Amino acid sequence: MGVESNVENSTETLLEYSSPRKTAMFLFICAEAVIFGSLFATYFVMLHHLGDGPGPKEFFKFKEMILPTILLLSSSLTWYLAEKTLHVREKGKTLFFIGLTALLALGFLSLEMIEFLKNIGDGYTLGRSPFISSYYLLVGLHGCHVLFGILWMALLLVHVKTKGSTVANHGRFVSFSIYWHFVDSVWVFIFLLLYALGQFL
Amino acid sequence: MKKIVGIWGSCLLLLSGCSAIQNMDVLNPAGSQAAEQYSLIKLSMYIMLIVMVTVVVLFVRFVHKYRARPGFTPEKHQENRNKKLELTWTILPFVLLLILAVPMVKSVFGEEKQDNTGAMKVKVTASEYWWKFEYPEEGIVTSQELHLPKGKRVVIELHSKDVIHSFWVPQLGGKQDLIPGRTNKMALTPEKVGTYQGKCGEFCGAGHSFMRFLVKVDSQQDYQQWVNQMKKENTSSKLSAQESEGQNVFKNNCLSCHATSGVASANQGKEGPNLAGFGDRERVAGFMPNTEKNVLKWLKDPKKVKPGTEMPKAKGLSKDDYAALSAYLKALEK
Amino acid sequence: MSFFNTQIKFASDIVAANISIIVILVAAVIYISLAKKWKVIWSLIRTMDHRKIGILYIAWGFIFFLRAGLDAMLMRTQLAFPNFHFWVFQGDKYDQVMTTHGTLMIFFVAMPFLIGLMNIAVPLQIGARDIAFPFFNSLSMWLFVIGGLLINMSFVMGGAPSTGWTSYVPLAVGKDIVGNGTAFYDMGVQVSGIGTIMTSINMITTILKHRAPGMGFMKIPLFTWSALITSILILFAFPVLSAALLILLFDNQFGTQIFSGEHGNPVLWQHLFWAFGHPEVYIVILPAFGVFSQVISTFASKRIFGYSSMVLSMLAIGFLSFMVWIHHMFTVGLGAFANVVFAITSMLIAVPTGIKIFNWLFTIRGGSVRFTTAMLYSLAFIPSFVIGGVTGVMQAVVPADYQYHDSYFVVAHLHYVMVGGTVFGAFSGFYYWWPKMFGYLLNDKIGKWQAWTFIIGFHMTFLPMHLSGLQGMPRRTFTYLPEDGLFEFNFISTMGAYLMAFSVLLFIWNVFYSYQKKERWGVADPWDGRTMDWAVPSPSSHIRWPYLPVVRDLENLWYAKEHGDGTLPFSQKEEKRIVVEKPTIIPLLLSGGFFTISFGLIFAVPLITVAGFMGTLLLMAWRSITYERSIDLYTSAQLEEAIRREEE
Repeated sequence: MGVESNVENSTETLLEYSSPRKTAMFLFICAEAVIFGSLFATYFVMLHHLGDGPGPKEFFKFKEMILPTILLLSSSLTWYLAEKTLHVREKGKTLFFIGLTALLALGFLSLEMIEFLKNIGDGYTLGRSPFISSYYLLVGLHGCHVLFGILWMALLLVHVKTKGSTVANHGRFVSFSIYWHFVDSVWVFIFLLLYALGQFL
Repeated sequence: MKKIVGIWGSCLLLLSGCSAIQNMDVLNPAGSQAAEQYSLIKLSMYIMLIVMVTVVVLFVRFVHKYRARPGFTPEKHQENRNKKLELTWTILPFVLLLILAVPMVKSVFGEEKQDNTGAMKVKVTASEYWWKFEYPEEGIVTSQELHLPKGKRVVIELHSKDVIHSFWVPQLGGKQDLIPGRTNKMALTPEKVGTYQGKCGEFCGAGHSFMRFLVKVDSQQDYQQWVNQMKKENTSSKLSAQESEGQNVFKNNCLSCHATSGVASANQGKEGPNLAGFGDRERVAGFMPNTEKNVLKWLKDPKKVKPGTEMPKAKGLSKDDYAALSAYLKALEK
Repeated sequence: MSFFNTQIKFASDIVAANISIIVILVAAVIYISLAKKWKVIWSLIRTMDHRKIGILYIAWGFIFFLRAGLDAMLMRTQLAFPNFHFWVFQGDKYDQVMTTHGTLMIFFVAMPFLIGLMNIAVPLQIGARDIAFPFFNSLSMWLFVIGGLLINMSFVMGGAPSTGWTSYVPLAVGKDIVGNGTAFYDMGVQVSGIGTIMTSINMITTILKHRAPGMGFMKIPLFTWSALITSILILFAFPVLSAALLILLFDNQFGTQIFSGEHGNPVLWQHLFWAFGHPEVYIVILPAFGVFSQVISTFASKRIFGYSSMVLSMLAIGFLSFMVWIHHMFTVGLGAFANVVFAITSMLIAVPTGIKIFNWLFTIRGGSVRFTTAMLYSLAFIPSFVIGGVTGVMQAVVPADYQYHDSYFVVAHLHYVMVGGTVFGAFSGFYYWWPKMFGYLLNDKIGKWQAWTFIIGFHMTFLPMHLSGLQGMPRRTFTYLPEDGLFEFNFISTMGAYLMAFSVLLFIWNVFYSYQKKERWGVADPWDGRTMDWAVPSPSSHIRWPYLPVVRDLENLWYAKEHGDGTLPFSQKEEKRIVVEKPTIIPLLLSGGFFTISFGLIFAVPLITVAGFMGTLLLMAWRSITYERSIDLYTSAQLEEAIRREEE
């Protein structure tokens, strides 16, 4: 019976270890995509259920969403760097890039919170109209994913700090990067289909 | 083996029971829509019977012939694929389905294309757990009993006040849902004079079982007479002492929700079912025979009789008050 | 009594329910203590063994089966006579029992029975050491248990869901809710749904990544194929339900009005629900198909007929199942075009299903049929399911469906496919794999009595329902009038239901009886099996196969029997990193976290919800940090050594 450090850290074991994880994570993303797809569909149906609330053109402030979009998208890049540096065993750099990614995500999240608070201040509360409710559900669920990602990164920081570049840590990085790139791409869809398209509806 | 006999037995029972089955509501149409649906049901039943019989015959034969028993040796050459057979049972079902699908498509689009000019209009509004019937062309309103003339196409507009219900008169035609915030339409053409059972076909809560109504199909003449009667304002001159006592009770307790006149304008803002001609109705509360006993039972504790109903218990009424109220309701005749 | 602002009235039925809960719990505790089984229980709840997790799935599923069956008895008794008043089961009490019956039977009986069988058989059939992620496997199982407990608890905690297992809005968010019924439904199904999605991911990964060397796609046994396709359906169908339930939760608890209210859209719920709901029908039938394929081929002593068309037809069914959901909504008024298109796709499903039926029939042809209990169920399935299938096609005929829709005809149809397909399949699978689960066989004589009573009771119950539907009986009604002409049909149904209940009791007796006798204990291959699941000892051990078996044929064990002495050849490859997870209590604790979250949401106590979230996240972090300590790593040689030591 062996313990982790005694096992040969060869490419073969790495692949063997992370390949089912990759598959599973990819499948998980499929499920997530269906959830978000259903909520997008709900949103588009609710475009016809404005009640006495505002329409998308009035409601969405496109320009205010450009900065958070940039923050979140660049976090994908910094995450890529974190993964790269893990492979070449530069622990310090890996830690730095995980932290940076988390910070960018945190920035995005705070800007989104500000947007939510502003909306509520304008009287656009959760139950104002079916349209606004569907917006909150979709964007809110995405926000929860970002928050979960930040907590996950905090955990990864601990793992890298204590264990360095082990087989298990490689597996963890594989899982998280699939998750994080997915969360980013959902935002791209939200940004394009809600905020950008909303200007023309 | 016993099992096979059992299954065949039940199939035979089904076939021999056909005469009894013919009297079943869905299989005994009294309107042209129900008749068309019935013809499709028959067609599909015949096709499906072919499938059933094929499977059961093969099943019985194979299970019997290849049962393991002393002295039985299975065939040496075991067949695991057979292109011809597999193609047969892939293609044949397509053919059967085609035979079924073509008349279906025809029927669906045929009904869609029907000409509704000159058709009569009725607006149905469902609430928990009763039915309101409005005749916009005649300006009258009734509830629980829908009167229709024989042989005339009726376009029914379906609305719901609270949850989803479904309008179903098995002998006249299939269901259509009544959905809040949405207007559905369906058409019925009754072909036979008679009284038909109507039901709510979509689960709508505690009182769903009792959300029933009747459809009375009359000859053109009788129908017109009923309409004329409904258009008259009710007069209370002929009431007996007890009945006018009941009228007072009614005014104090019931009038805020129930109108006693069938004229549309008198029904504005009334939340409960219209009671014009209540004395002539067959049922009280939509499902009990309209007897004095049942009326009293209903009035004294509506929620016990019909779970989930909105109708409240009247407060502080004496036994005499109830009797008077019941007598007054009975006097509401055409 | 007020419980977190929810009124609980102690009516006679609630008191009876509470007393029976207490009696059952106390009896269980006493039994376990007397039999000194606490250690067994402790190891069982921490287990990472796919076989034991499968057993737990089935055991909990069976407990919920008894509860939902009891509900069915209550309903059938209430419906035995026209205008009948049985105890309190009229009005919304009946609705509660009816909803619990449907929700439990579909989500918490049919699914765990089949997922349990998958857990037990799939790794053995494909030559895998375990499911890909045992930890998540255990967590999935506990989440399903928690969901089921939530639904079960609701009855004594202010009111069970009462709006049907379809939970149509606006009914489900309006004043018709009893207690916190809809919230219980919402969270119960949501939590177990999360578990089900995880299982599907686990199952797909296992089948894709952990097949023994040599097992190409066309050498995968049919039960595993059905598990794979079912899991794919779950993966794409259940998230739709999750999203719909999330919206329902907000509509119900947080005042949004997406499905309801003045401006909402009640039809959207139906679209989302049935976009999930129709694949769900195939999710619970495909694994049963898989069981029938294995059982019929084993007991006809013949290779399955038309293997590749069996696989293709399952794929076709899976694919089509996503394109038929509108056939549940023909009466909504979506227009002639939509109705016709979905009617035709619905009819098309009959083709692959028919192919499967004929393939089973021709598997029997030329074989040698042994009538064991498992085979009896599989054979009874064929005509029963054909009845359910043809009534399904009849309902695809749109204008005719205007008549059938939401009548007892539909009740008959769905029970013919769900009981005649899924439950027959589950029982068939239990009798078939029982030795692999527990090491002994279920008594065949009692088994046959049980099967016959169940099959006869089943037809007695549901055949008359076709007729009551045609006579105009709407479903989900708690009574009918004497003049409706429905008494005879309903009375026969009720008698049939009692017979089925008797049969279920026989099954329980059989389990205890056979446990005492332990017939043919430990026989690895009691049925003259054909696939690899019969090549490992009974019951299957958790650590096995230091060197993986080599797959040469679809029926790998049969091939070895024909071309040798019946032992499998093993791979020579020395593996360096075989992971075996140690038992842990964390999955159970995590499901407790989900329970807390749900409890807080149901009773609208934000503090409890937040605490639940914190606890859940902390446990997840704890698991992640201790991961390296919670696994054992072996090389092939070390594993062989460990197995030898265990055997001694």
